[in-house]
Amino acid sequence: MNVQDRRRILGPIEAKPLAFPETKSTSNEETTVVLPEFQAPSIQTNLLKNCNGSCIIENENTSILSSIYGPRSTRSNLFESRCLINVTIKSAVFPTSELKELSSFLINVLESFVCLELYPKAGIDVFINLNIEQVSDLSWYIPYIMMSIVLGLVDAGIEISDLPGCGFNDNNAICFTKNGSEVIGIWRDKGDIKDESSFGDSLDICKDQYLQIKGLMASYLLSKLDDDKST
Amino acid sequence: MNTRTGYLENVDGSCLYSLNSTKVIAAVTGPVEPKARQELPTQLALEINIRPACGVPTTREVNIQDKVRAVITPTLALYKYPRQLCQITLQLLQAGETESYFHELELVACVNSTTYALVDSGIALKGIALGTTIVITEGNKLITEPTDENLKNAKSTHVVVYMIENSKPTNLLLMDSYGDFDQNDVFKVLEQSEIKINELNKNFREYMKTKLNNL
Amino acid sequence: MTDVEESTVEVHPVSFPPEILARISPDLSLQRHLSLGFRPSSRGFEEFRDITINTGDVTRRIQSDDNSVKIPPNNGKQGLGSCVLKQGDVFVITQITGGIIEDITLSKNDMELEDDTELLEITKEHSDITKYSSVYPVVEINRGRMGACTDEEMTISQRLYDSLLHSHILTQDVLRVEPGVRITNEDGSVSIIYPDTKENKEITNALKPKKKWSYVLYAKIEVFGRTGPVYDMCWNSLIAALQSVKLPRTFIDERATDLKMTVRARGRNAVVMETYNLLCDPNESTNLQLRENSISYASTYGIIDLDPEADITNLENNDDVDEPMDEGLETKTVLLADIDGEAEETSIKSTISITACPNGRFKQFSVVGGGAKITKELLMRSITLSKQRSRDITLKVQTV
Repeated sequence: MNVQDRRRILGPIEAKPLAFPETKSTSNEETTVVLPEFQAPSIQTNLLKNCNGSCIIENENTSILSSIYGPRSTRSNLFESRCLINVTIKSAVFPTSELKELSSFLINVLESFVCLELYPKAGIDVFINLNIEQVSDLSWYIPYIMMSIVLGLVDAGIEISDLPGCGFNDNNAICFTKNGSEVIGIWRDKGDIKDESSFGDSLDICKDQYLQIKGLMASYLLSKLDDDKST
Repeated sequence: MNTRTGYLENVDGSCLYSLNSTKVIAAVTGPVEPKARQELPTQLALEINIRPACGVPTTREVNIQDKVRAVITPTLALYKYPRQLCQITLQLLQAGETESYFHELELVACVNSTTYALVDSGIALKGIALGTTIVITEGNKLITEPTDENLKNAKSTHVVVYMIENSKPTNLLLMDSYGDFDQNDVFKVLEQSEIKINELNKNFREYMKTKLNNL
Repeated sequence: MTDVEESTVEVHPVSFPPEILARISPDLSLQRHLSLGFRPSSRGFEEFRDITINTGDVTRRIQSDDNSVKIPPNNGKQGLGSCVLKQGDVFVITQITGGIIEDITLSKNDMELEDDTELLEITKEHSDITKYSSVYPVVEINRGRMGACTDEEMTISQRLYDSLLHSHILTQDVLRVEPGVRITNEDGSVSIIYPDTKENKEITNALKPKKKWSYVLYAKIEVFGRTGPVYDMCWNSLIAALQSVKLPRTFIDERATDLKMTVRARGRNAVVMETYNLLCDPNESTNLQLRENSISYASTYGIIDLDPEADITNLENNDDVDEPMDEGLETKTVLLADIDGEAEETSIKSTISITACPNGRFKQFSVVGGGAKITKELLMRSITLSKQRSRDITLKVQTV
């Protein structure tokens, strides 16, 4: 019995994926991965025509595309007084289980700043496509992912209560809102928090990064507004 | 080419069709009540299912389905049956070609057998669709109704389907060509297939005439 | 009396802004546009959308001299080639990945075939389809829905597979794996020997097993922002991506070449099995050799009858008594290049899709004539345009 997917052309079952020998690092220096600093990415919104809002965030080796569909009717027959948010993340690099976890994390974060009450009986679907090379853990990408979602939501004309953002430091990705006075989500890839003071430090660094990102988003939106006015 | 209509008893129209070693049964049910999602407010909805000679349907059958639909839709008097459904099921008995490389012979068999089955079912038609397969060999020779061996060694393969109205081929409904060929080949194939389809049409009318006389 | 007055209804002609008319009656909106000599997208009848092609942009590599490419050790493991194509508002991202399969179908003749014939076969035109290969494409059109793939995705995938196979662009020979052997030298250092020179060939021949392997190629094609039919974009993107493919060289470890295991099956026969692990060299790769004269690009055309009743110029001239009536009722059929947009996609039932090489040969040709009659003149015109378009795209891909 052929157990392969009949709807896709997947080729012969006997084929094996290309196997590369495990790279044994020749020196110790290479094992300590130096994570790239936060780089101001290029931003472009209103990219795709078949969705309500979209945004692409790109830097040297990352390209994150968000497409927002909604508010639109849901399939559910129940009456929902608030809007339902759904996040789907697609990437060839990370395992699906990790992506699922991240999407439920992002749903929680989104629910704290999207004005859900304004869209009863509706749903907002967020699709994220990560076209990246794996340079680090998932948490490193979260600031960029957040940025593309927030700008995508703005592009879709969905009301949000603030321009939230996320900062990254030492395995922590911390999402802020209200100018850094409120934390709306913390994501940690691995390892325990050893002592409070180091976490406090990374909180401060993340906050600075959030403010920087917020500035970038605000200036992008303002310049876009000017462009729209002039045309 | 061998055809036998009314082959199945529980459907509105059917046809057992064979050409060389390609064999297919076409069954037409309709007009019937559609499912809610199929229903079209002003016209007849069309559902086409193709089952391969062996194994389960894959993307390959979906692709053939898509082409059969493109060919059959313009022949039906769609607006005569609003909110109704016509269901066409095609069961291949023998592919007659290497399935991993080709679908040409099966496509033509599906189109021609559907035409016979549709006429058998009595659904109103604007015209009929008849098609043929042509290959161009390495030596630039045209072979109509090729065998699997012909297909394998052909430089290019072509499926051509014409719409027949008032007993003449009028519109080109489908041309589906693969391989290596140029524009002269395209027109040569169209010309040759028109001759062949005229012949098929003659057979079709002959068949229907004897069938009616025997009633 | 007031009742009577209220019940008399005065009929006003209803008029809609263009964008609303386009939604409620795409057909009429399209006809109105065409009667003015341009299309809803404000393109001319035979005007294509602008196209930009970038290859190797998704998975970045550090290019070194010659054909060989150095891949940074951490990434690019699976990606062999890629392409980002943008046509109008639509993006198509194609990524080529690979796998290896053991050739069990090889006949004895193939085993005896020696390398001298292989070079010839790449350049020689062969019609035997069993000598050619294809890639396994999976098309995904992003439209904000989850779940099973749509018929459109399946049809496009199958068409891409068939067209690629029958275009004779890939021979099975170029996908054949020529494994090297990893040798541990006397001083403990490890080196890989490839059968490039005569001397090395002797070594590898002596060491390597009698089995044969082939590469298999997969293509993942993602479409973003679909606004109309996308087959031609998928094809063009796939062909551009294939031209960027680098196949990693593979090797077998010396210690594994002679590996034999005895297995007792059901306590009766002792079966000798050989298992080999082919590994890919992260530092060495070769360009995938395509048959250059089979490289072709696709374009799509629509054919539609102009409806004289929808003609805006006729509407305006209606009061003009001198207007001869019969002239206005003449139906004209026009060819539109590169159909796009909801109105064009739903209203145009007759389409032509041509995959042409820049030299004028065709690889795939499909005509669907459900609507307007396709005349020889229209076919000729679309053929001319498709050749021109193919040359344009060739230039774009080459300049990448």
